[in-house]
Amino acid sequence: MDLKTLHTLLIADHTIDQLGAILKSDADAPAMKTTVAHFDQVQQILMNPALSCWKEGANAAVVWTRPERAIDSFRRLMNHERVSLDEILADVDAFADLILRASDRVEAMFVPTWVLPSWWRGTGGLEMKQAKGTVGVHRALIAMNARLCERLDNASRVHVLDASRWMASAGKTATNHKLWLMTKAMFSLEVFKDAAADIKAIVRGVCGVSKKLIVLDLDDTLWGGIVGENGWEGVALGGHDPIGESFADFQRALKSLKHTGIILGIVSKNDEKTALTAIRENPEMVLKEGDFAGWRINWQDKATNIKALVEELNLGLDSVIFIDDNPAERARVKETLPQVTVPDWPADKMMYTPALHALRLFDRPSVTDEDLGRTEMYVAERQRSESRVNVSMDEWLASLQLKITYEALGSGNIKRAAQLFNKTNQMNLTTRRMTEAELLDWTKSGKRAMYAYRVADRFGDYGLTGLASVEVGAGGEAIVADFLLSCRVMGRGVEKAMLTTLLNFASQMGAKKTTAKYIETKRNKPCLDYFKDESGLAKNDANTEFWWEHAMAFPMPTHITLVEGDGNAPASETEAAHA
Amino acid sequence: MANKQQILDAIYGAIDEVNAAQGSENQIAKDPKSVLFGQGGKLDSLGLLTFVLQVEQRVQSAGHPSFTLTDEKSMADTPTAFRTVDTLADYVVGRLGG
Repeated sequence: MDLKTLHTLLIADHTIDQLGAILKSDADAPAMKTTVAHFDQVQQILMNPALSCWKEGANAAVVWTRPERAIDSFRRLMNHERVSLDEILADVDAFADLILRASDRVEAMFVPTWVLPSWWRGTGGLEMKQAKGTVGVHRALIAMNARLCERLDNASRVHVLDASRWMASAGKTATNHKLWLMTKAMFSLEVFKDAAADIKAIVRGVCGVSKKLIVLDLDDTLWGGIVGENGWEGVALGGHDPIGESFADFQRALKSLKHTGIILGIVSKNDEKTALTAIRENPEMVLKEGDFAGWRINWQDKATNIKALVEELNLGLDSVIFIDDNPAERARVKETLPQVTVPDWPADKMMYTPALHALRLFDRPSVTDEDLGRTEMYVAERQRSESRVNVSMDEWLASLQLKITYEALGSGNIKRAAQLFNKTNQMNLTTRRMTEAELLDWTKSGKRAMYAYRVADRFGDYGLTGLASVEVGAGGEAIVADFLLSCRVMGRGVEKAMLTTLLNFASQMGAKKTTAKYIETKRNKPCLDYFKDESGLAKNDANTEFWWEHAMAFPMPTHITLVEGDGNAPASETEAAHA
Repeated sequence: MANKQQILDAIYGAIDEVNAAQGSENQIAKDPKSVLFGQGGKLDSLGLLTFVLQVEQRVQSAGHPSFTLTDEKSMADTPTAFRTVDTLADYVVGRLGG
């Protein structure tokens, strides 16, 4: 999905024009064009791909229905007819099937969960009961939403959104019955604003531009008070006072983000030894030293420190958010590093956790095994760097015991492969962008191969960090269509192992020559440098084409063990095979 | 008894709300002279109704008695009441007996 050309089709059984207007006018990326499909024609639109609304170039869709309209058995239940939950869930399954079929027509489909108007109370105490062959309305609604999510779980293009949170956030004004009667608008602008913000956050995640690293200050950010003055025993953290509890609470919220693959780092003006002692010794610390991928704790300028830390972690500045209680430090970083997101931060320390939750910066379409182990990978990388002292490059590479597993794309690796494919910028030959389905489609031709590469060494598992593909033409020349590698494993011979697998496939398909054509972007010079200076391939004068004649064997690095894996194996099993 | 400034504040709150769906070229200024309805107005019919209901909610949330601006009497018989922010504020004050 391309952030620049997002065109969203809005399909609903209530007036949804205002959501379209907000999606269009909201300044947050991505900019959106919207089209509102015919009112209250949801089933017909989902069923019929020939309708004109599908032919206007929309690459995303929102399907927002009222439960009593989408699910007829639920409408009857709301009228207190005797309807079983099984009958309602069968209708939900049928609706989910419609969604699944229609989702093939766009790159992303957003489906808000079903909600009832905020004023609707039903039968009060009977709402959550199931007895005598029927079920309470609210209880049925909970089951319906759970079933809808379950049915859509494996559809990579479909994103179910929690509309109940938007309703709760808007409170009593989430719906207005007069507005419904007069305009058939079910929801207030407040609900639509939340919905629009969530949709945009997920789109950013799908496009791989969500944030990856939170850089944190320490004093009055992770704990209350100044550790250099009060010692770790004297800072406010945990215990039985609301300020201490609020900092522990904030640390828990950060740790929960870390558990989803968000990386934490520290940039603090402090004495490093004092600060690390506080992190290690204070029993109230929720975040431990191993939860931080890196830190810069010194008296230097914070912007300079952030830049250095981000370089150390091989990330881009645009993937970083910086949280600091001090407005002057925030202003300095904002001014010096405009790519870094610096949210305004509440002066009230007890509001840190809600402020963190309000940031819509970490949405992703899925969480991979690599996401979950990311911090541990950085810790292993620190150990690797330490092992490099006083040995030659060749000795160091040999000591790593690198093992590369290459595998065709399949159900076990497609999520991570698509994620890597769409977010890698620096070591990327052609910088194509494709969805999971498009990637799988591309590999269907027998003349093409696309491999995912998992890299491991004695310090740990980098996970799936490379992707490369080749297409063999009729004239005996093969073209490298994609060649991309995470910065984390660049410069260790992995690139040559990847080329070896592509050249092997091309040879088997009868190619005499394989060519890699470099397409320049603002950020992929490291890829050019590799092909030009280190790949060993022949090159043209313009340094835009690099090739290998298959008459000669391509030199595979001797310090790497290359094995073929199974792309359809569950990701966790594949990871385990590397251990 | 309704104070005009309180009503203007409620109207300005409603303007903030509807501006989110107005696009940069159709933003309504928080000014008594801003045109709401009729020639030069920037709200479409859905926008106007949303706005008027917002004003109702906000005025009632400010502690004033329940009232409606969306009945026939208000919308059809006195369309000039919705012409500008100022005329609407005066109309609401009048309805509330200010």
